Amino acid sequence: MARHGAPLTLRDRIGVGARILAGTLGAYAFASVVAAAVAPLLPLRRDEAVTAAALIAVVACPVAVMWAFAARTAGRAWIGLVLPGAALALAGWLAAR
Amino acid sequence: MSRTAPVRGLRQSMDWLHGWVGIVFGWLIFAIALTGTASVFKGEIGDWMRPEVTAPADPDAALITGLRWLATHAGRALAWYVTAPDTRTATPFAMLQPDPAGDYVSWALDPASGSPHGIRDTLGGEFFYRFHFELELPYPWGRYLASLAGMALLVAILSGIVTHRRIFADFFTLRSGKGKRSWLDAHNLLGVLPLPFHLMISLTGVLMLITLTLPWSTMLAYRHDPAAADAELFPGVIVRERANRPAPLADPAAMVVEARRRFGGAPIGRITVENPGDAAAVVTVWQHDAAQIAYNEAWITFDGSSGRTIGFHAEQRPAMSTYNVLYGLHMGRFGDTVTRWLYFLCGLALSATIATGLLLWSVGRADIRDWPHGAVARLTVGAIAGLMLAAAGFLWANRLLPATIEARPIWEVRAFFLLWAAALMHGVVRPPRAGWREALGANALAWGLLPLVSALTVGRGLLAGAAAGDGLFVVADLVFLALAALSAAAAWRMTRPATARPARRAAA
Repeated sequence: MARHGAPLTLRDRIGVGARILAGTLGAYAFASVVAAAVAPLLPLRRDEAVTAAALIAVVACPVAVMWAFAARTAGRAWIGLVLPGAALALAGWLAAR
Repeated sequence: MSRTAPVRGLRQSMDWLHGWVGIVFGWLIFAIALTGTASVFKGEIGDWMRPEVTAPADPDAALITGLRWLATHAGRALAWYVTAPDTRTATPFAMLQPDPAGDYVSWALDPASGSPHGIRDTLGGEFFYRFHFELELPYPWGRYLASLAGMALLVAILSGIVTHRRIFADFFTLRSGKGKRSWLDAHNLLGVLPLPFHLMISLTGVLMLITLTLPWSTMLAYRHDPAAADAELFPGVIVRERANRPAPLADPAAMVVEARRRFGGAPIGRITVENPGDAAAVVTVWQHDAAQIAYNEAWITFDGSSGRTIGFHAEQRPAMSTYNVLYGLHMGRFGDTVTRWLYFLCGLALSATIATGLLLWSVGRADIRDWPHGAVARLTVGAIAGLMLAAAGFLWANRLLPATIEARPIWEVRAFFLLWAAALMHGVVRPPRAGWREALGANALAWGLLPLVSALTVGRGLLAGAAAGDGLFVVADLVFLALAALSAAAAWRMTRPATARPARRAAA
């Protein structure tokens, strides 16, 4: 494939690797946080809240994957997953307490 | 598809993502999509593969007969499951779990005699259905992999939509005979026209396994106590410890009558019996999924030894109903004949979208000498044409294997995988174009001769059936012949010289 475009630098390779990690493990972790944290935030009975949260998490997952590859840099891709994920986790933890 | 990092803008980055997700997961997604498409007619395929069963069954009577058969032949099991026959499936199914470590055993029962004797032992359409989400891998790994593939498909579809410049114009664009451009047009047309179906089926497919893949909301909310979660999520499903005191099962006929009354007359789909033959037996009767879009709409639970009602649930919770409707949309069991054919055609379109996408990946490269593209081109032959050939081989094996051989269903499955492996190897060793021609030719023969093989071995089919009104066998033969014609037409196209691509010898 090395015939198209400019040659890849090490920096490019690390960037692509970091995005792939963000788009797979990162996206799954983000969806897991959504599932776990949204449930206690919803004004619903427990059985309904866990079902609704899981439904929302499934939609969050492909959005996170696409974000990982659409972000301008790999660093931004990770920040865009970690910051909202941490905020949600905190809110969920406070609501569940 | 750029090879470098996706940095130039949303459309380019999504184009990059679409291409790479496609090439990494495309073969797997194709296999899942095609077997899922076949699963639309799971019941009908099962009936075709059990040609000994000719009589239609009364579902309620068949359920009771199935329970009685299990009571005489498998009194000591951990649990029994009986599935009712319906308008699309002639046979009731009896399944049991012998012990916690043991594999489930299942039989298709003759609706008239209530016994599996005289019916050839086969997995039937269940094979395609199970492969679709378990991939013949041990639990839960097959389901994890299928979920991953489903998510990849969803990402591929969404990124494909973003990539698209002229989504409406592509409804009306198909330039044939133009090499890569034609494959791209076909990919776009097949992908865009049934787009709502593609989106629905990939999203709902992932959703069906979230209790396995995303259990975190439930685990945290119920503090890692699955029994407490089940009790709240599935109210009315009673779980009891075995009492270890034998007790006969109360009359199932009365339970069936009571269940239908509580279901407002809706048909029964299946009956499960936990701890059969024990004083702590529990009988759960489930409403049929064809009665509404939603899956698992209602159930009623009886004490097994007294026959008393001990639980009832009709789904009314908004979130759970949403989940069940999405689940039911994927299963498509609610559909009438027209809806099912639409599911089948849309499933074929999705499979063909994936296939043309895989082809594009290698056809787009003029420098196919370069080994990754050559390898993709060669593997794609066996992954697509080989899988179709394997499916035909599975049906051939059903007709040709002697009824008496040991582990007959396993041999049918082996025929499937041996043929698939052989086709994959054939695709790897032959130049791609010749590989396609030969594999498609083999498909044309395998599907084209199947009606003949079937007619000679079991006597039911297009000619005999047209006179006798044997609709299923007539339509099945017509579908096989259509697949043969499509394969033959595609193989014939491959014999013509390529127009848009010089340097053909490069592929060899």
